[in-house]
Order: sequence, then C-alpha cells, then structure tokens
Amino acid sequence: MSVSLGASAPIRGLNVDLFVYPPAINVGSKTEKQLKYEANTVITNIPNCCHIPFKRFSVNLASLEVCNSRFSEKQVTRIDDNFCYYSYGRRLPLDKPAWRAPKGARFLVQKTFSGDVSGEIGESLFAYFLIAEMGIDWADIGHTRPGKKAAFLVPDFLISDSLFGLAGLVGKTNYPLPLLAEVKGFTGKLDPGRIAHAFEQLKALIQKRSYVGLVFLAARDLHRRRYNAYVLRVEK
Amino acid sequence: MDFDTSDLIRAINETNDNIWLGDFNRAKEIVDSKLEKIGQNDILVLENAAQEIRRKTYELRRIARKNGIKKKRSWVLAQLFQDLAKKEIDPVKSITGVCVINLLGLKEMIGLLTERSSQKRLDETENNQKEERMVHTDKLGNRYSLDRLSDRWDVRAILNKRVQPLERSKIRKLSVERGAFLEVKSEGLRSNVFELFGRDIYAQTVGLNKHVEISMRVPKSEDEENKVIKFVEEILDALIS
Repeated sequence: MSVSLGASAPIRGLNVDLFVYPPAINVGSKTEKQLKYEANTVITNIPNCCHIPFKRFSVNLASLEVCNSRFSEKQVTRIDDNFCYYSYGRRLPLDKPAWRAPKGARFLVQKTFSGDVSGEIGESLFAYFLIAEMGIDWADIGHTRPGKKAAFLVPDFLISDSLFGLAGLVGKTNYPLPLLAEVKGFTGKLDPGRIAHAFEQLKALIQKRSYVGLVFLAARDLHRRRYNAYVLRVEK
Repeated sequence: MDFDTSDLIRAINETNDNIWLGDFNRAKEIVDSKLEKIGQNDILVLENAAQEIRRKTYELRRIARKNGIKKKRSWVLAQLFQDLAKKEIDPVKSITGVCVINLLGLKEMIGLLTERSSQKRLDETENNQKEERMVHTDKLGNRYSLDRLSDRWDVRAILNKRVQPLERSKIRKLSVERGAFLEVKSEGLRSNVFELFGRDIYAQTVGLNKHVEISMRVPKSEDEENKVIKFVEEILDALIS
C-alpha cells in the first residue's frame, strides 16, 4: 500500500450524494420474477423517491485509495485517479494511425470503462462511506467477497456495527448483527438484473434469522459529473 | 454452539493490520488465540457447514450446465435456497465457517511470510540485503514500521486512538515548532490528509481511523533513520492528542 503522492488534492465537484431508498424491500417469499420486478420498481421510483440525500460528502481521494487497498477485491491500484476519470466520464485517448481504417472497420480511439474498475469504485466508496462518514470502526468491516468467488454462500460485506451507528441508515435502533451488504457499481444505467441478483443472494442469507441486508449501489451521474449512491434495505 | 461472527471479523481485521504493519508475530498470536478459543471440534463443524453449502453450489452449477439452464446464477441460488430451507441449515453458520476458513488461510500465509523473511534471497548480497520492516512502539503505545525506499521513507502506523480532527490535533503547533509549511489537503471527522514542507523534511500523511501512512523525505545523513523516527513519533503524537 503506497501513499499516493501528488494526486491527493480534492478536486472540486467530486462529491457523492447518498440516498436511502425509503421502503424496506421484503424478499422473504418472493420468486426470481418478483425480485426482478422489485428491482425494476426500485429503478423507476428512484427519481421520485430520492430527492433529499441522506448524506452529501466530498470524497478524499487519498483515503479512498486506502479503502481500495484494504477493502476491495481486485488488484486495481490508483482508484483515486480512476474515480476522477469515471466521475467526469473522461476516457483516455489511444494513438490513431495516419491511414484510414479498412471499409467497415473502425480504429479504437478511446479506452472503454472497465467493469472491474467500477466494481472497485463501488466497494471502495462503500468502505469509505462507512469509515469516514458514518464512523464505523475499520475493524468491524469484513470483506467476504473472496469466499463468494470460491462458491461459499456469503455476502460481499459483513458489518458488525455493535454501537448501532448505522441506525439512521437501517431505519431501526436495534438490529441483529452482522449486517449483510451487497455492493454494485454502475458506470452506465442501473441494471435491474444485477440488483435482482443482489436481492436473491441476500434472500438466501437472511431467511433463517431476521437479519438486515443492505444493497449499496454506486452509480455514475454523467450529467452532474459525480457519483450517486443508493442504499436499499432488504428484509425477510 | 453460536459463535459471534463480529468477533471473528475483528480478529481477521486485526491480523491483516499486523501483516500490513509487518508484525508477523503479533498476527500469529491473534490467529492462534482465536482458533484456540473456538476449539478444534467447532472449527471442523463450522468449516463443514461452509463446505457443505459450497459442495451443493458446485453440484447445482454442474446440473445447470448439463441441463442448459439459461439463467444459471438465479436458478442455482433458488435451488440452494430451497435446499437450505428443507434441511433447516442456517446460512449464517456458513458465514461464520467462511470466517474460520479465512483465519486458517491467514495462519498459513503468516507461516509462509515468516519463513520467507527468515530466508536470504538468492539475489541478496551483503550490500544489497533488503532490511525487513522493524516494528517500533512509541511512548504512547502507537505501533509503526519503517521501510527505506530508494527515494523516501514509507511509514505505516496503527494508533491506539482514532485520529483527531485537525483543528483539535497538535499538527498546526508541530508545523510551527518545526518551521514547516502545513498544507491541509483534506480533513474530516476521522480522516485527514496533509503535507508538511520543512527545510529539512517533507512528509505526506494520510490518516484514516486508526491507520496512518506517511511518506517522508529527509536529506541523506548518518543519523537519517533517527531523524525519521523522531519526526514520525512527533506526527503520531500530534495526530491523536
């Protein structure tokens, strides 16, 4: 983990608005189709329900990079730089040959945004939000994504918030621990399929006890050149 | 048998913190004491609970592939959900099992790291031998380790208290005492980033929660390391008091 020299200055406009989707989503007895419908409803309702942010914060890029090195899955470094590029929608140019491309073909002139990087941004942003904005102790956040990859049944994150610091977010003053969280990062539009998949995973985990699931969506808002984050509460 | 998953998460994070700091002995102590507390029998029970769901997932994936099911992931999860409900398996036990597997993995990794650090590499000679990170503890109980890189010193520290907001900390006082220019890059309740530009020192500090990274440059001299240690301790002290 290295300290990013020179790139840590906060850039004006790199703010995040975090909204909490008002109704808790009950997944207990819902089928796959119903969960997909639920995900579509969430996407339709977000512009109407999410006007006042639960939290508005500017991202400290050096701290975001620390969260990246510690709490995200893939070996992608300099998420602080990438966060700027992704937020602004700025793509790196490629060299273009002097001759014209053959008929029907086109040269690649700009790099495309990588899903791996947007995933990293989502995970880092979630950890950053919990630590820097909500005051959750670093030691209380468990990242179990590698276990998930190895086909174990686990969520992306476990949060053992023993002081109930997330009560405002969860909407309850007392809840069983740990909180189970799924994180999804989006560069383009919100994808109902991916949200429904997060619901399905949490449904399998919260069936037995009355655990609370959180789905954290980190979505780029290209028009406002920033990131929006949405927290969906999932219950049995 | 109902284990506190939160306790396991904390142990995993503490172990990772110590590996990051370079204190492998402390990391090993944490893992060993935690595993000892759980007990060999319960480790096996929890591990099996996680492995059983994993085996079932693999089996369902195989069936899905064989039968050419389109939405494989959703189908596997739905089938798994039914199976867990039928057998009355508690998925949370499986999560605890995965945490135990993580701890066992960390134990193995610490063993490898310790072994590697005790061996001399083939390309190492007396002159280019890489010094291991030495963990120091200051008078306030903060632990930190130093690494001399080609152009700077890389310092990692774990504080025994959370970093204070800059206006409450003694950083400004320290910069005046040192005759250094302080440039605050960002400050929050539990995080702050600042740079100190002095005549004989440059330090960029990133503090988040109880974790601090300092990148420091000092002029080359015989007592360079002592100077770095002194300044690091001053910064750490100022961050929490």
